[in-house]
Amino acid sequence: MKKSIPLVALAALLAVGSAFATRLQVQWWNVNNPIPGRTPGIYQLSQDQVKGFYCQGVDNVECAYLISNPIMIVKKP
Amino acid sequence: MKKNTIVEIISALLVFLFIYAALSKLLEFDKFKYQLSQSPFITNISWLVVWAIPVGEILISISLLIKRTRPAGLYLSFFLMLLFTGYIFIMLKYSSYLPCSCGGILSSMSWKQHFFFNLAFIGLSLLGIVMQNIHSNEKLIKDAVNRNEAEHLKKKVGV
Repeated sequence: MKKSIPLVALAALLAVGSAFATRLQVQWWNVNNPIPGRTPGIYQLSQDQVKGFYCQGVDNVECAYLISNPIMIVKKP
Repeated sequence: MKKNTIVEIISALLVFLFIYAALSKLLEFDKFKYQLSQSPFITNISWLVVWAIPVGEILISISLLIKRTRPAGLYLSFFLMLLFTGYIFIMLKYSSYLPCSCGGILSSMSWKQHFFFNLAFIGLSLLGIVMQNIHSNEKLIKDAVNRNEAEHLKKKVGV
């Protein structure tokens, strides 16, 4: 039993780390609208740079606002 | 492999899944809240579900972390996974559109993939429950045998 407790605790720690690491993971986003200083195109953004929301009527496509420029909508290519 | 070790590994996998899923939802709470409110079958109770799911997942993880409450944690994991899978099944079968309300890396799975992923975890929880019960019964028998042997020895020595 002494061996097994750290295994479950380790899993819990790994899960916490993974959850935070996923937020920092860089993803490709298709920036549809023109952004000052940037032309429309595909950009790499981490999840802490965007605020995701549900795209009504479109399955498996993620939509998000750019946190630095809340009026802009970005979509996963 | 010892039955106890199998239970430990299954518990670790469940703890990882629940803590990861709960934190992913809480870290993107606004998104999760909105997605859940769009879900056709739970729109009216989404205000409750939005808190109940991550809190429930964390509580089950804590119960799996503590040795004494682990059997209860395994049963709760089984029922929670059964509930999630049932919800996915209903959504796949009857919903006109499918808003994903999962978090983190799990959100990159399709609904069908998610369904089979959950089925695997239902199987794991069930295996954990069976192994935990066998291990507990074996321990009870072992303790009873030890007690009998001790009684026998006491009688033999005349204590």
